[in-house]
Amino acid sequence: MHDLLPVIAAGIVSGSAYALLALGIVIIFRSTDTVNFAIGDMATLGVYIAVTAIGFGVPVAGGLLIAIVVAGGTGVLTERFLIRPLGAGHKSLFIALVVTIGLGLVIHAALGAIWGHRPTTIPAIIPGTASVFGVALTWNKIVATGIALAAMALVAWFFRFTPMGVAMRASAEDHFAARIVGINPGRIAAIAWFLGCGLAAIAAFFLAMDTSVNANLTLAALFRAFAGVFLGGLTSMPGAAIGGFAIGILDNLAGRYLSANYRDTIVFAVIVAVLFVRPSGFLGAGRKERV
Amino acid sequence: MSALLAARGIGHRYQGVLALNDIELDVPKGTFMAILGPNGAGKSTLAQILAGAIRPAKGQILLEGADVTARAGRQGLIRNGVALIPEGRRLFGQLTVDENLMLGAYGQPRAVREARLEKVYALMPEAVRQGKHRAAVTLSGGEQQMLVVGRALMAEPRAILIDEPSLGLAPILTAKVYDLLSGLRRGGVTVVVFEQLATHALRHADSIVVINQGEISFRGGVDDEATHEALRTGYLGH
Repeated sequence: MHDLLPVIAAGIVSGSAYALLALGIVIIFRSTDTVNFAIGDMATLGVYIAVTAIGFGVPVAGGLLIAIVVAGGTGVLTERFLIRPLGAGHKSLFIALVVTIGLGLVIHAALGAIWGHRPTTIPAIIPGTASVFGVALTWNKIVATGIALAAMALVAWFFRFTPMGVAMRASAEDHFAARIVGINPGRIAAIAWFLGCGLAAIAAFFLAMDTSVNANLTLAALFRAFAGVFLGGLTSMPGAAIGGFAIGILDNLAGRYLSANYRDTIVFAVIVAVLFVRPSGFLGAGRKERV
Repeated sequence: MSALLAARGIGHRYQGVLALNDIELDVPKGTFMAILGPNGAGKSTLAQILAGAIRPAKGQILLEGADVTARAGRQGLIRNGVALIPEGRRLFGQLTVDENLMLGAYGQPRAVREARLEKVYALMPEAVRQGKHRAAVTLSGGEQQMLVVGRALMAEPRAILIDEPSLGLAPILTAKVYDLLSGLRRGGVTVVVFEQLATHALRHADSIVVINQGEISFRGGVDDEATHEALRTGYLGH
């Protein structure tokens, strides 16, 4: 057990990207009932534009801000012009799902067409490595985890204490009641999509810094993020964050103690088992009963 | 007495089924009106249309004589001082009592909201005042009904439209809700209740409107001879 701590530390580091993506997915789902399958591609688009800006001499930290704004802005435009016109109702929810899948494919193809298929890199904010709990981590990963945790704390504060955040929670619970107390549903949707895609951009930016800038940057992470979303319960924000970290830790535990080749299989087997016992995830809303 | 809210030729359908047909209605300023009718008569639809929460298929809604129909369908008329308390209360159950009330004055500056919060808490029962940080869903039915009236009051509305306030409440709790509504009317707020049960409404209202199958079938003052006659013949479903 002497090496359990470093494995968990590594799990938290990789889990922070999953948690950010999962949180982004849940924030968007709660506000507009839409699962945004294009979230990874929107985030990647943000990263490509950030890399271009960095190439023109923008500092790396500025690049991160550009990635957030571009991805968030893309999200806002998508909601306004592709999702909102579909209207409400079950049929349009399914159409919205297909629209986001299609949009993701279009963005993915456009990235290759505009920037080419050769991976590039983002320089590290702080080069070198440090030792955490006896495990050597690049400063990159430490900074990434720190920023991810700070972003999540900021999101938690926003939803807990600001009038707009409270309005967003209210709207997620009851769209109609929110409307009649004067909450503007369009504004709620816009903020949710900006926030969701912006959080995904933070994850994508650090994934790119860790590996390389390529169009499939978020693919594996998004897959795990979705697992985290379901693990935490599709509608719970803390659940999504915890789910993301849980997947990261589980992934590293499986790789270290069981089999590196079957780590995905093991992770998903555990998720299936958890969902079998608790179908709505560990913090999901479950079956709502009204009295 | 001039009308605060008025319906002119309102018609509405749900998926082809007639819900309201050619409704003409004037709600006089500062009065207490009870709109009575059986389940499915179109009361909830009329409440939502008058409050601007849904847009009528036909006709106009007038607020102090001005046509406000075009504003319907989004945030309703809450910014114009018309608050709707829909059927089933529709509190935000996962949010705290405090948060629910604060949302009633959404968009107002913090100082305004906090000043109103104090005033509204003074009207609330003890359990609501003691449970500011509790989730609203943990309150009893009567407390929830009081809280949702409180949430509407946070907007300092000129008119409150309340759909089935007695639904699922014990008579003694219903009486408390009506006492609160009567107090508001004395303070100058126009009150419209939409009810299936006439008992409490008749005790507090100034005028009665009955709707049946989407059409107004009776209207009169509470003390009118015709109303008493209608009550005696069971016309009001009393």
